[in-house]
Amino acid sequence: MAAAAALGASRAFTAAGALSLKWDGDQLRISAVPFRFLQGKVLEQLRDGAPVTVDMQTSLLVNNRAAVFRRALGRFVFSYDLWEEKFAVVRLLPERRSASRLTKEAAETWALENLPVSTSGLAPGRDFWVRIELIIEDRKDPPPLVTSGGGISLAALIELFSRTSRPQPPRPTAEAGPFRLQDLKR
Amino acid sequence: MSRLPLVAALLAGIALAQDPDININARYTVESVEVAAPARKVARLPQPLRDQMQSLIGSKVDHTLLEDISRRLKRELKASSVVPKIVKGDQPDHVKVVFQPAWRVSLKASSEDANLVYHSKQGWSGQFAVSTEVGKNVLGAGIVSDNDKLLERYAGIRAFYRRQELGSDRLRLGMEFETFHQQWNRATEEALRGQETVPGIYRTRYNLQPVLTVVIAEPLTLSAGVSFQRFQTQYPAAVKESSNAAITSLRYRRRWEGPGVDRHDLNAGYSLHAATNLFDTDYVFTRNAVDVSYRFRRDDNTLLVRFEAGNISGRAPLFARFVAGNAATLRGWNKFDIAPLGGDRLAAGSLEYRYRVFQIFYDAGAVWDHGRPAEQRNSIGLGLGRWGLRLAVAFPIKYGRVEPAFIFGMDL
Repeated sequence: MAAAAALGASRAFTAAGALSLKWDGDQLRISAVPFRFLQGKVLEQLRDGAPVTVDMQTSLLVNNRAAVFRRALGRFVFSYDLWEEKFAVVRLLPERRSASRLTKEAAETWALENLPVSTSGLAPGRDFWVRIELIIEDRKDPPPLVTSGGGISLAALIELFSRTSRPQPPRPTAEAGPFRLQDLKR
Repeated sequence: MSRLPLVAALLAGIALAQDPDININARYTVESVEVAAPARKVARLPQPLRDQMQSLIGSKVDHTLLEDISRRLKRELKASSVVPKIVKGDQPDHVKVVFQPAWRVSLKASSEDANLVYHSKQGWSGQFAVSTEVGKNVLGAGIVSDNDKLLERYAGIRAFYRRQELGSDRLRLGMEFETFHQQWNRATEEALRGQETVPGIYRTRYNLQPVLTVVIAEPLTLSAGVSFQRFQTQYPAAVKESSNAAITSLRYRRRWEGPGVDRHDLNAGYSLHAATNLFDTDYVFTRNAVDVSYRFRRDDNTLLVRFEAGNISGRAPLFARFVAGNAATLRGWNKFDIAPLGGDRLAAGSLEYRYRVFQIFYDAGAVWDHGRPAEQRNSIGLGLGRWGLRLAVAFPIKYGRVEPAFIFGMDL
């Protein structure tokens, strides 16, 4: 990835592929991942007018990836405007934000950039790794995030993250590092 | 993974109102709703579900509601999946909703083709068939060993083909082939001695039966076909004989829902077997039969009323003669005690009440031959039934003796 050059030429990427990072104040943002996630059946579902929920988790790992320094978790809902033929995305968590009239690629990037992870407390010279995980909800039986009463269905999320016996929903993952904050361009 | 507590901690206490604008298409108005399934399947959908789909027209797209309807459709259509698809409408800012069901090509056994019955006076009977649906074609095969429905125990194999649409969804084709080996009850064999009215027993029998069904107007169907039966007689000599007949049946099957939670099911039919010399048959006879069943359900209560009757004119082989005193009619009686050769006249009815798993029933009926007096018999019983399993004890009402029959049934 061309954007990876911004991370410092001496750093090696893992076999999972390259991540493109932006360090903005105390926050680290992923601006590109080595995979597309609005494609195949997910894209077909969007073009059928159905929303697609994507849970994202960005982790900063330290101690040679043995420990998690910090995590950020977000839930995004993508949809495809049938009349305008453009994509829209809503971030439900951490707090509500949205964007519309995006191309497919722009919608993906918007979601990645809108899940920053705080670097507060991380020493500038300390090695860290970045991991991003996505869980794309299965169309057939998505656990509802929001209950009919308006609250969060925690049980659904517990079920989501502990699924083992069922076919797993698409779960793209990428990891890269080590990085140091002092090497990143601000 | 250790991420779970973090997720829980992050989300705990957060309340988020349900937002209809999560899907950008929620701002569009539904112009039309369609289920992309054969018309005959759509016609059988419950009225409240159809009403719910119709109520979508004119409202904004609510994908949660569409998913809910899809789940109900999946259940009703017995589909492997139902996907709600939204496409641009003909008017600006309007959309069309199309529910797209899919059926997997798989082997399946329906309760019609797979069941097991035990009658303490007649033993086990059962059949098991599997079928696969390829497009509009259903192919199936199975095994049968039945000592309940007819005077004979017939055991063998059957294969069938059904074309669910033939040019039009109002026309269906069916083809059935069966080949059986027979066993006879001693009472039947003894009753046959010294009389010539009723034809004798046979050792093997096969049947080839093509049938064309026309949906006159849902839910009324008319079927017409031919039954080519060939069997090998046992006495006085092993010769092959044929019983070929034109078969016609008219069936009315309707389900409707009354006020509240009331549900009504009505199933009524008339069938005619006309075996004439036109079909090069060794047996010339006409067999008429009617059957009506009505089921009313409210909450945990079910009332079931059934009636069947028939008559035969001419000389019909044993498999065509009427029987009463089995797991379906005059429960508790032994059909071989009532009429070991069956009869050419039948009238039987049943009244049954079910509350949750419990059932009580009263059966009445008679089977007799033309020119002889009809003796009405009655029975009562009680039982349990749930999930396709039925267990009943039935008492024939007669003087001097109490001889209950135990009946166990299972729809596989």
